[in-house]
Amino acid sequence: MSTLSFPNYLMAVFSLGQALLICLFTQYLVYFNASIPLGWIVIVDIVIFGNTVLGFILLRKSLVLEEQDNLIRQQAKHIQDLEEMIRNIRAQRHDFISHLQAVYGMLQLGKLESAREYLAEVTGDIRILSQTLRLRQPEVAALIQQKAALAANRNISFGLLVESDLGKLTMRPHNLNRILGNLLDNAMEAVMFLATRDRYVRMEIREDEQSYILSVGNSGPEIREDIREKIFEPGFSTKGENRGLGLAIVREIVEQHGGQVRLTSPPTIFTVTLPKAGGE
Amino acid sequence: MDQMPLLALIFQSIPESIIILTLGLTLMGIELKWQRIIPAAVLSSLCAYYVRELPIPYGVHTLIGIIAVAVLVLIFFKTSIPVAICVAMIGIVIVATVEMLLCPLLLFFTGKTITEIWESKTLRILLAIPELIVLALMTFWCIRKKFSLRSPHFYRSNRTKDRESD
Repeated sequence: MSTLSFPNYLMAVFSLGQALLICLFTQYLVYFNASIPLGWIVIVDIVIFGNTVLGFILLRKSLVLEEQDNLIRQQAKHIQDLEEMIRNIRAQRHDFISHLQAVYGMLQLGKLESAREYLAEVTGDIRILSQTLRLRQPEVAALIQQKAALAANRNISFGLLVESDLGKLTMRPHNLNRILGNLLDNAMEAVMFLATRDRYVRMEIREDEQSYILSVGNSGPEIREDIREKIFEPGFSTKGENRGLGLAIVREIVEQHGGQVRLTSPPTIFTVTLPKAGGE
Repeated sequence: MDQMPLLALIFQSIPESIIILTLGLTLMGIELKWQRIIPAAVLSSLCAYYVRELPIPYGVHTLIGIIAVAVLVLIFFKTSIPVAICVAMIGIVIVATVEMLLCPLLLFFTGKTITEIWESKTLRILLAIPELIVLALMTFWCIRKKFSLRSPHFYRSNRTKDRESD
C-alpha cells in the first residue's frame, strides 16, 4: 500500500464516519423517544445519504490515485530495466573487441583448446542477449537479462531457451515480469547453498497452438510432495518469517489470466501455461 | 444496555454481518471467499452479541463493531490495515444508511415507535427483513455486475501489490 494515498483514505473514512455518526445520533434520539418530526428525519436521511455518497466518491478517487501511483512506480521500474538492458548491450559491444583480441592471441600461440573454451563462454553470454531480443516485450527481455547477469554474479549457470516471441500474450508485461521475476528469484535462492559447479537455473519460453509455456527449473533439492500445493498459499514459506508471498502472487496473476501453474520435482520445474489471445 | 435476543443474533445479526463483509470486500475489489466470510461474520456477530450486553452508551457498540470487523478482515483476508478499515467502514455505513433510510418508512407504515419495536422480539426480527432484503439485493447486484470502487483493470494487480508490501 502506498504511503502517499494514506491521507486520502483518511479523508474518505472521515466522510463515511461522519455519515455514520449522524446515523447513530439520530437513532439514539429516536430510541429515547425524542419527538423528532418525520420531516426532520427525512432531511437527516438526505444529509446521511449525501455524506455516504461523498465518502464513496472520495474513496474511489483515493483508490484511483493509488492505482496511478502504482502504475508510475511500475513504469519507472520498466524504464530502469530497459536502461539496464541498454547498458548490457553496450558493455557486450565494448567487450567484443577485447574477446576477439584474446582469441586471436590464443590462436597465435596455438592454444586451440583454450580458444574453443573461451569462445564457448563468450557465445553463451551473447546467446542469452540474442535469445531475449526475440521477445516482443522489451521489458521482459530486460528482466531476463538482468536476472542472467545476477545469476552470473552469483556463479549460477543460467540456461535460456526462447522459442516464442510471446506476441499474442494478453498479459501486461509488468505482470509477466512479476511471474518470471518471482520464479527466477526462487530458483536462484534454491541453488545458492549448492557447490558452485552444481548451481544451475534454466528458463524456457515455448508455445503450442493454444498457449504459451514458460518454465523455470533449478538444480536445487526436491520439493516434498506434501508441501507442493501449500507453497502456493500466501504466507507459506520454507525460508522463514515474512516470506511466502512470491508463489502466491504468481498463482494469483496466472489464474487471473486464465492460465495455470504446475510444479514437478525433482528436478524442480515450475511450468506456467498462459492462453494465447483469441484462443479458447 | 441493549440486549440482543438469540433469535435476532441468528436471523438478523449473522446475515447482516455476512452482508457487511461481502459488500465491503466487493467494493474494495477483494476476492470473495465464502469459507472465510462466513466464519468471520459469525465471529463478528458473536462479538456484537456480547458487546451489547456491556454497560456502554448507545452507539459505542457500532464503533467497537467497526474495529472488530476490521480486525477480522485483517486476519481472514490478510489485507493491509487501511484496506481492512475501509472494508469495515463501507459495510457498516451502507447498513446504517439503509437502516436510516428505511426507518421512517417502517415507523410510518407500522405506526409504532422504535422502543416498541425493539422490545418485541418478533417485531424486531420481522422489521429487519425489508432492510436485509434491500441489502441482499444491493450485494447481489454488486457481485453480479462486479461493481467495485477500484477500476476493473487495476484492482486485482493492486490487491497483489498490497500483499507484497504488507
